[in-house]
Amino acid sequence: MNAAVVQVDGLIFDYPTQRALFGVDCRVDRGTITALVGPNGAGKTTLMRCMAGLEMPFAGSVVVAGLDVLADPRRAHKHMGFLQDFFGLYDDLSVRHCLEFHAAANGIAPAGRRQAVERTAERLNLRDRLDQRAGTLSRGLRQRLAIAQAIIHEPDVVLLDEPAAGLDPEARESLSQLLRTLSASGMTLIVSSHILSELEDYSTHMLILRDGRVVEHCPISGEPAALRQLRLVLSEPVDDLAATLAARHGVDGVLLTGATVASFGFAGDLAAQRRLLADLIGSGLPVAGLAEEVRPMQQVYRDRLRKDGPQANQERWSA
Amino acid sequence: MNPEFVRNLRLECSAHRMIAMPLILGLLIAVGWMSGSMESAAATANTAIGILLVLWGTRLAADSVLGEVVDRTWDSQRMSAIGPWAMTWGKLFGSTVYVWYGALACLPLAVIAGATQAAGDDFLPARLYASGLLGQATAMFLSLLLLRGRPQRLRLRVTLTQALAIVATLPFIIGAVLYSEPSRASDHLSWYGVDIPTFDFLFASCLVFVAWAVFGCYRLMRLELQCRTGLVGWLAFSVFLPAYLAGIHIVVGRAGLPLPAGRLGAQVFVAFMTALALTYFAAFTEPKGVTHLRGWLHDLGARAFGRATTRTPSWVVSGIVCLGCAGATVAAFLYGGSRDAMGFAVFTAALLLFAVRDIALLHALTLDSQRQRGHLAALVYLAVLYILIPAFLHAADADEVVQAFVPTLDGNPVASTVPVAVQALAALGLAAGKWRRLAHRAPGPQPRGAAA
Repeated sequence: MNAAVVQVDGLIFDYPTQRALFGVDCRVDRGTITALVGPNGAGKTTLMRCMAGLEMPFAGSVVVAGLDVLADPRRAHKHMGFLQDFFGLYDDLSVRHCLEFHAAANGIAPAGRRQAVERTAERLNLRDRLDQRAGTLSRGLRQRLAIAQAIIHEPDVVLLDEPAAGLDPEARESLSQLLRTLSASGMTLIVSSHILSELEDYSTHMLILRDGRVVEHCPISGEPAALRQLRLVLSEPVDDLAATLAARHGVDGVLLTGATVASFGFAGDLAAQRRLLADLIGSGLPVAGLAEEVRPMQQVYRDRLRKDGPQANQERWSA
Repeated sequence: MNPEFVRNLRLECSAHRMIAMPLILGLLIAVGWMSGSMESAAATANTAIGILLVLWGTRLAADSVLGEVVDRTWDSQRMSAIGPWAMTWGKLFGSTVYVWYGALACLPLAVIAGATQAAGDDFLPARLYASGLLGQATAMFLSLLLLRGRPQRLRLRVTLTQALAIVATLPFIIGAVLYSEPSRASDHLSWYGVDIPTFDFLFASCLVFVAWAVFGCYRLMRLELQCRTGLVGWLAFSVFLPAYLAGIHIVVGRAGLPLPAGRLGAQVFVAFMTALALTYFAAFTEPKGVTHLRGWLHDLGARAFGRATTRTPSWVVSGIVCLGCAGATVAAFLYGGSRDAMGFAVFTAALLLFAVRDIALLHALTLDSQRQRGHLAALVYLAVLYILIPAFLHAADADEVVQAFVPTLDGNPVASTVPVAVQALAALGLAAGKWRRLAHRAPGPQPRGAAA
């Protein structure tokens, strides 16, 4: 298990007439990409702003890279980057000057600033735009510059709020690639978005918020789950398939989805899965296939919200 | 170097602007010199300094933070690692660097031209620089103060902030110009019994207020950057300002202010009135949303006094100082042997009751901070209470009831306090009712078991 680089405990945040976060707890492991999803008004942006130290919660704590964000936000900011849904660029400055400002503002020593600007511009494909005014860049390039500003100090954690909003398909694909690259370089990303199909491209974890509460925080791919979902396909129907499967070690929750197809949870790694397959074939079952069932993120999200019941009414405090 | 200052340098000081400023100023001063004398050239240079630093500089300083909010760059600044002090001076001097460049370009000519005059103030440019800096720091302070309420229509507020800053600077600018006249050079002012040339007193006061304004900017910047900020700074100012103003000698009788109990009585009364004004100022400018107050009360209840201190409303601090000054005022009058002592004591008590009523009413209207118009509504209701109702009573020949709505120096002890106390209790009841509705309601759906 990776060490937690973001630890949120009991976070409560109130707006004047409404509680936005109800004691949110979560931990985000280093090097992961967490998709922060939820319906409108779930508290995603509020949670991100609290994590960033931009809002003071009523109660709770946020620790990033071992630093208490609420007690010492300025030190914690050296370890964080935040891309908001608006880019917040200085249009009258050149790309180089924008990057130099953020390098200096985030505590990079003068000797290392030039190198940091060059490295970040290279990473974001902005090298040939360094002397162009930020105000003259296209939306896609402005977004790249905003990301460059957020990561120029090589933060441990980068928060991205709706980073793909307003981008064309090509720019979105490019963004996905960029986020994977950042993650591979060791940064931990928390990405809030409504476009689940895109989040699926690069996210390793999903954090579902609803009505200001965490309703699910689970790995999506790339990490072993406690109970994987397997799908067995037979070449011809057999009697008592459910009972046969349920009798096997590690099998749980068998669901027959057709005469020759069964879906079930399996607590075991790939070696255990191989042994299960050999056992099933050895017992005479006409096995045509046994594979992990990958549920699209959209399906996990919908299933989880459905399980959680209809959207609760937000009780207003207003008079 | 301070990155915020460097960023402003890059934005403000392009080669084109750096050449244009001295050229235009040079032409202006040359016009003054050619159309008159060296004296008029100096006057043009001094006027240019005043316009650049006060009119233009206050605009730039007010825009230094509010402009960032409008352009949506403020959050990225708040997310940086720049400390509050570096952010304060980087913005204050960075945003105004161009007008300072112009003002300093005028300096040699203003000094040379001033020195050629037979009589005059050699230090007028210095006084103008100090006044300009005061205006700019005040503008930035007020803009940060306005920002705390997360206001709308920010461009309008930049103009409002600039106007207020100019008003705050006017006494010092007028003083600098007025007392540069040779005929006024010998004017003196008594401060705590010490005779000081008015000229020097104004200049020293201006410098002291510059320091306070910059400190105020720093304190508000700390709050804006979510750094924990105690109340010592505001407490110090709440003590300083009443003490400073109380020291200025008020001529008893001649100025038409019939203050009994001698100079001490006058001093503590001025201190009380100043502390009272500060309490009102803090009450109107502090965030008063229910979330803010609930956090403060929660911390007090949890005995987290360190955190509670950072959330304590400033008006509470000024209010405590005000109470202290009120006690001193009453004591000074009662033990001063004045025949009007009781009247002043009652007047002081009535003022305190009015303050309780007004601040309670203000909270009743602004606790729900979604109501952007709460402050405006409070001002309207206060205008009704202080102006409209007394005018109506006066028109209805019920003058004896007016003292229930307007503090009156020679009022009846009962008629001028008991009705006000009733109003204060009613306003407190309103505020408490609003508080109960907002703060003690269930905060939304109960936690579900599925929550991770």
